[in-house]
Amino acid sequence: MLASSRAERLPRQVGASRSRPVARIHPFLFIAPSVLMLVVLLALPITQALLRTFQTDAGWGVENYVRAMRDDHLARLALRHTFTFAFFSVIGQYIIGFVVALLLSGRLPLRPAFRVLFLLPWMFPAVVPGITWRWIFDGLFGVFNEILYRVGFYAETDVPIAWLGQTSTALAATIVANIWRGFPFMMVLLLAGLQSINHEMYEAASVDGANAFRRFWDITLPSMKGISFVAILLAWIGSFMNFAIVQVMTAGGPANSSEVFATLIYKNAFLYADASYAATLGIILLALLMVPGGFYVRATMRSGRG
Amino acid sequence: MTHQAITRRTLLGAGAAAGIGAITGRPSTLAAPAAIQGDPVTLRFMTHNTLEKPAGDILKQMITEFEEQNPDIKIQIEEVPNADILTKLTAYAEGNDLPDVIDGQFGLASFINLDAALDITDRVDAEGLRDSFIPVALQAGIDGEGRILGLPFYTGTDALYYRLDHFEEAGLDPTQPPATWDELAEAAQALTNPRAGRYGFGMYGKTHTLRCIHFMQNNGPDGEMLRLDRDTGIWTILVNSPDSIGAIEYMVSLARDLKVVPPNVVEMDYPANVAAFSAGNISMLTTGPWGAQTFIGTNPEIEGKFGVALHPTPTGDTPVLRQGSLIYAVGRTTEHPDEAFRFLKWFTHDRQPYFAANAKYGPTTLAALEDPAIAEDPFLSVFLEQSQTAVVEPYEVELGDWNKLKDQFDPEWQAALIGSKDVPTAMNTAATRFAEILGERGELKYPVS
Amino acid sequence: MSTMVNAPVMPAPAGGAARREGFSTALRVTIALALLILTLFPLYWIIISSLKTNLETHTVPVTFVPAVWSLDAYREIFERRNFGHYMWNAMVVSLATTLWGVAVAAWSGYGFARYDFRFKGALMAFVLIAQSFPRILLVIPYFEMANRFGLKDTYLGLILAYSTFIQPLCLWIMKEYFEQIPRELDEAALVDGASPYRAFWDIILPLARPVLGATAIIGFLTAWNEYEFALVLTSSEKVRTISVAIASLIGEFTTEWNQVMAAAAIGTVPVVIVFLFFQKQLMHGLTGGAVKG
Repeated sequence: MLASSRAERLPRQVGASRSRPVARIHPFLFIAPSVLMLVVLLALPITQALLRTFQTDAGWGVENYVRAMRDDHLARLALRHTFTFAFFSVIGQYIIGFVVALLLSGRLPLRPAFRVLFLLPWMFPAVVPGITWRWIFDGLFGVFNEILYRVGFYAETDVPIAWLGQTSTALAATIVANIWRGFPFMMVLLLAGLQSINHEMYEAASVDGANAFRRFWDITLPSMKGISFVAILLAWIGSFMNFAIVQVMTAGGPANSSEVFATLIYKNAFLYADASYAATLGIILLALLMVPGGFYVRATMRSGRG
Repeated sequence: MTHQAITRRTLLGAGAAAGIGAITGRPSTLAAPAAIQGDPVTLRFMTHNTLEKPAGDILKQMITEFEEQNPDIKIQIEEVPNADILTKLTAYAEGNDLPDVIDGQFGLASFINLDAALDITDRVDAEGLRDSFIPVALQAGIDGEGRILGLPFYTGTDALYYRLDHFEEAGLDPTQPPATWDELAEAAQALTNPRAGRYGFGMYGKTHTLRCIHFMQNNGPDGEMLRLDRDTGIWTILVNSPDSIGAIEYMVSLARDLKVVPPNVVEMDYPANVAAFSAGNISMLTTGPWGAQTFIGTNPEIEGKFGVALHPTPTGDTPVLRQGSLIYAVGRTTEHPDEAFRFLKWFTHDRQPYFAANAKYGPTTLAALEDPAIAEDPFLSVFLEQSQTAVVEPYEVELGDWNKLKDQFDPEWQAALIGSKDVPTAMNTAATRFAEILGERGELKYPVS
Repeated sequence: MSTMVNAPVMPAPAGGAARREGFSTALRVTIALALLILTLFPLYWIIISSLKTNLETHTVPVTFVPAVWSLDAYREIFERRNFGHYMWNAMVVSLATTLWGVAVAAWSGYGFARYDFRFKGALMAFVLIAQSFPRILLVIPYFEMANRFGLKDTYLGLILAYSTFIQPLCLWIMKEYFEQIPRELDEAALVDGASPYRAFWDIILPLARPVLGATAIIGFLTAWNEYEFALVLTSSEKVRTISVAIASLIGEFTTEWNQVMAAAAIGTVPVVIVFLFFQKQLMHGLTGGAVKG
């Protein structure tokens, strides 16, 4: 393209303009609206929450953190469940989202219809996925058990399994619901990513005799690295903080077997009126999310893309 | 603190005696001049009842009537989904923006925990209302210091609903509902037929687990969650007493050994049990007076096909039961306490008989008991009989941490129901957690080794 | 649809092996249909349940087709409850949040994608914190703020609250896509004497149209799906959104599942309509305009 040849003659133009004092203001003008707005809207509540975590009955201290990390058996349990929930949710969402995105970006009759239909799970108001899947998995009136009867998984005389009513499957059932709900998000992001891949690279590879798998492995996957990173990070954050699905389906039960951090924060903040402990759990959750987030920021900075 | 409270209560009592009869109409004596002419006061009324059938339509109709008779007041209904009442209430309380009249679905303890309710003792006594409520109902709105913080809108104990048609099908005598625990178990076994999706007895495994208390309370003197020593203010933890454990073991055996309870009992919340009873999936269920209309509303065809009997007890004695009431209160931050109280009094007191007679939820006022629609109702009479011996659990009314404690009990109850823990282990764990939360305010009567 | 949308992933084999191509299309259709059935089964179940009587939702064995077709549930939620209005509210709030969020995110995303500057890492970390801060903990502070500034029970109050998470979300996505657009394009514009703002507006933004579409979808649906803020920040019918209205159907004593399912079904209708209405732009966004480097 014309542009590239020019750029070759004048490399790093944007970088070079940094040295000019006037130009130095450009980046800040760009980022200002977003950053300012977030500062205005969030700096105060986040600071408040942080301060609150050090508030105890007897003044200031780290008791809340000690309680969360050492004494509260539920916090530990919830942490494990949160990781499990987020990990399997994101894997499931990513794989299904990627497969669907690949299908939709290729030759497919009625593609527009497929595209809208695959987005449907995401179009439901917040409480609906939880409500729907709770109803599907219901131990007495649930259609899932009915299907299992019809395909012969249960004998006619069997007592059906209460999927949300036993500790071994409750969390898994919420993960299924969350994958269903979340894969369209992945799909949208990955589809747009696939569309951005330079077409000519495939043509060149085809000419070189690379088969479909090789083209996928050598071109598609590497090109999707950046967007996959962001998509996974955002989905991870979303699943890690998920509240609606778990709350509606199991409310953390039975016997705390699907208690996650978000439901625990909710309980402390709204059912026990223990705002400072809820904030403490929230800050811990935030800190945990910062680990993958930090990797992401560092990777972006280091790759020199910035 | 306790001493002070008593003094205060005595004084208030005296004040009330003096005030009785002095006040009749509205506005109340304490009222500042009502709203400026032509500019009605708008009261925010937080409720979940308007979302329910049949109570919602009746309550809305009462509100319309109130507005017609009180042109200086407009009621703005803030409907809140039942499950989210406490969420909203917490936000309102922290934001110092409580509605003028608030819904006490989560019990007085949650009002106390949030300091959400205005003390209306003086107003209640000034109008001499104290004696016109059924005492056990009013008690649900009185805190540990004797302050009246809320008034009951409906009330009730749990009794045993049973399907007459199922009894006949199973060859049981519908005029002889089970009175003892053994009879309950036997009847439930006869009624159970998993292939037809039918189970003899319904239990609350997900929400409303407090109904376990009805079994604990009747299984011996220490069958209880907690007992309050009024002198020391110490809560004795009894959830792991042999009496309590025995009661839970009985319930668990219904689910696990006899399998007369739906297999998904731990995912069955209140509406799920109502639906299952109405649709014929469970043949017996314990719940309050509101059950009858709710069942019929869910499935009109079962009208006349179910009966109500006293809550079964181990030996068939008259049951001693926890009485639960829905209270409403005036929001602490209200700018219109007079108008708010006037409205509160209107629907919880003046028109309560009308509500109780039509919704058939348990009456809270003595006047309601006079109403033939209530006095002659065969179902309500069972509940009224049980009310004679019913008690208000102090922890539900006074213990701010009760919600938290309840959340320690629920998982252990579920673990026992699922069988992942045996009952003594589960109840001992619950007791330990209770002790942790209560700290110096609590005391284990049966130490956990 | 433009011609360049087709098959960047598995382009047609060069040799014209039509049968192999046909086979591959058939395979793709089969997989797509299988996944679609799994995806849509819950939707089928929602619709079927909504057309049953409340009693039939509670019969064992479960019926896959209503024994009695009934529109009671729909009648009930439209007559007794103002669902049309709740959907309108959700639509207003979601659209406003999205437009505002995408505009700001595009502008600022460009800054993050193209420039190196002091504290960039720290600022990015801040945005990430904003994105990751547990939303439940913001509910009460926002309620207090909304009260203080007279934003309680207003669209604006909800829009601002939603912006706290929609905006960072959009920002990450925009930034990531901008980084994929070859730098040479804007550099060329700069060399030609354009300001960076002009380069952004004239060169980059048009190229980013697919991303704008995708980001708008994501922003819109995330807002449409919100529950906790909508619950606490609204108190009257005036601003209440559909998610809260649906939750209201889960009652204290009874839950009429046919009504819940009917509400869930109609809760998606406006979104589908918006999609069909803007399909051209969105589909272009989702498929067209592959960046040519």
